[in-house]
Amino acid sequence: MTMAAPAPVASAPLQQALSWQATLWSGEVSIAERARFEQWLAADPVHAHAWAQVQQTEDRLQALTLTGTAAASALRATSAASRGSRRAVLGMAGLLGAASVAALAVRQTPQWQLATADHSTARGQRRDIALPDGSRLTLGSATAVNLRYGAAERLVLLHAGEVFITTAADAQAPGHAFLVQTTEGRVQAIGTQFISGVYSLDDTDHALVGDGGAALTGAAASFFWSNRSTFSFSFGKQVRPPRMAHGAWRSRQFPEPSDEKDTPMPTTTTAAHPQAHRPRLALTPLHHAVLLAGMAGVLSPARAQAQTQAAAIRHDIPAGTLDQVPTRFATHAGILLSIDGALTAGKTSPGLQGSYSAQGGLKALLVGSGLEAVADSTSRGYVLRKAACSSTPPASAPAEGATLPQVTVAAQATRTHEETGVRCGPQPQAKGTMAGHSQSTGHHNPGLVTPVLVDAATGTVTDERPMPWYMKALFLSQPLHFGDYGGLSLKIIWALLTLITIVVLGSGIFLWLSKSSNARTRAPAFPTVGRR
Amino acid sequence: MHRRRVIEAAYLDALTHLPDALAPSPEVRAQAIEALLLLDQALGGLPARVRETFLLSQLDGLTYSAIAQRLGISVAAVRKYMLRAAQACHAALNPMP
Repeated sequence: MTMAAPAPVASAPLQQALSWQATLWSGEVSIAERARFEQWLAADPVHAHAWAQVQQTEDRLQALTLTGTAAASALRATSAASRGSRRAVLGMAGLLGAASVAALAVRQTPQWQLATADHSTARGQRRDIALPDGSRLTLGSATAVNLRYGAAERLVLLHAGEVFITTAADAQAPGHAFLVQTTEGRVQAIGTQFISGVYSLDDTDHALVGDGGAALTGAAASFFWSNRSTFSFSFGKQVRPPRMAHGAWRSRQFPEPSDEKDTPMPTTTTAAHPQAHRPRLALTPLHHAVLLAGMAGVLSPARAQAQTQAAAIRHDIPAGTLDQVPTRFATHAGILLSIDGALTAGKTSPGLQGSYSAQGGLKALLVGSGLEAVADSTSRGYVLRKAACSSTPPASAPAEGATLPQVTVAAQATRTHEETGVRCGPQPQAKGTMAGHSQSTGHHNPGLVTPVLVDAATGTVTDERPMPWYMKALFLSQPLHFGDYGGLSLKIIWALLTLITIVVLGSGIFLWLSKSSNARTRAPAFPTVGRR
Repeated sequence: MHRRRVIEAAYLDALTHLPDALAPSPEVRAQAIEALLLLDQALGGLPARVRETFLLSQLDGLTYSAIAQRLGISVAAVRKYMLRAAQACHAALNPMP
């Protein structure tokens, strides 16, 4: 729109002349007015000059009005068009604003992040990705990752699903950490292979350690998971990666300490420290079930698996409990092995010396235990189960190494999030809090947790951090804001109400704008009577 | 540039409704379009009500009281608007004041 030309304030006589013109244009000039105009015109030659100027303009206007309706409709058409375009611009601005707000909201949703992930797999699909530094990434079913690979970091953002990672030592910068970021936390690879997953299906999120192990961020080495909550199990002050078989993370046990010789530590280990005691964790049946549920999509590169299973490797594994020996064997042989701690509890194995294939080695290991290893087609690994004809009673032998008392950690949901009991197996009560299991209480505020650090060796709570008030307020307002506490139908209602609010707001602004522009163009409701 | 085309189109379109005898010569047309463009610029910067008042008076030839009745404003207001429009037109059509 063209801006207003400043009114010419050339001179007082010109202004007077224009004023007279405006008067004379009325078409109903009285005789008295005409007489006063004549007086003004005659009073000063300057007045006459100014009037002549104004008359020039008048003449040009007259020339236009000679064409009459043509000029009129031309001017009317353009002024109408300009009004229309202003309205269109306003409408467009409103639409753009609403669209950008909607786009911002959509970008925050997990669905959008899944859809725009760098690499993703569909349900039932598996994909191998070679990373720039030589690391390999295997995506499981329904997995989405973003890669942040740069000079400063090697970060894999895991939005959903699970990944199996074989890290390569970074040639340029040794000690250049390899990190996996999930919605629940960050996992750092200490060893060379680990598995990390986000299991949205049952709301579990856990990092699973593989060969060499992985450490979660935090001071203490920890292993966390549970239903929508975080458990930290302290292994003492020193961080030491648990050395696990590929299959060990599928079992319920952490391995016993073993001597350093038979399985050399992977290249990037930085925090290795011999630790006198290694805890042995047994999880409650609930956790076990959760873990096994998460196991459904176990990842292993199939080709490598086939090779390792057929090849005979020389093993030298000392006797030990039936938890440790097969685990160590699986590490050495490079196979996946799933062990149910309930079956192996209290049993021992004579160990293994000699060259064995995977199948043969497992068979030899399990002699006398009443268990057998069967190939598992879904995981392409092996599963321990009770032998069909288990007549041999388990041999009893002293357990190797210092086995800590079994610590069972269970938790109860609470609505107040203040203090609940963490039952520690045979040990006395310990303090700790956690967010409730959703299925037991129906409570839907996953953020409201108090992280506690439980020393797995003694079962005592070593640290507890209360949540700051502002975070509490934030998490409390979260379900109110998103309406995600009553299933999909409530979410839809919430979204509709939000849209209605936006419409009310937008239409209100539009009405206000159009009212203020109409006030200038249209007649007021009560026209003032013209005074003459 | 866009406005010029709009005005030209509207003017020529309006001319087609005139009988051939009244049709202005091409020279007059060009001048008229030029003047219309200047006028349109001047009026474009004015409030909508001032513009409407001016068009009703100058093009439709209505008297001030008729305009006042039609727009529901006082005659004094019409005169005020017309003065404002006259100032704008004078500035637009006479670049040298």
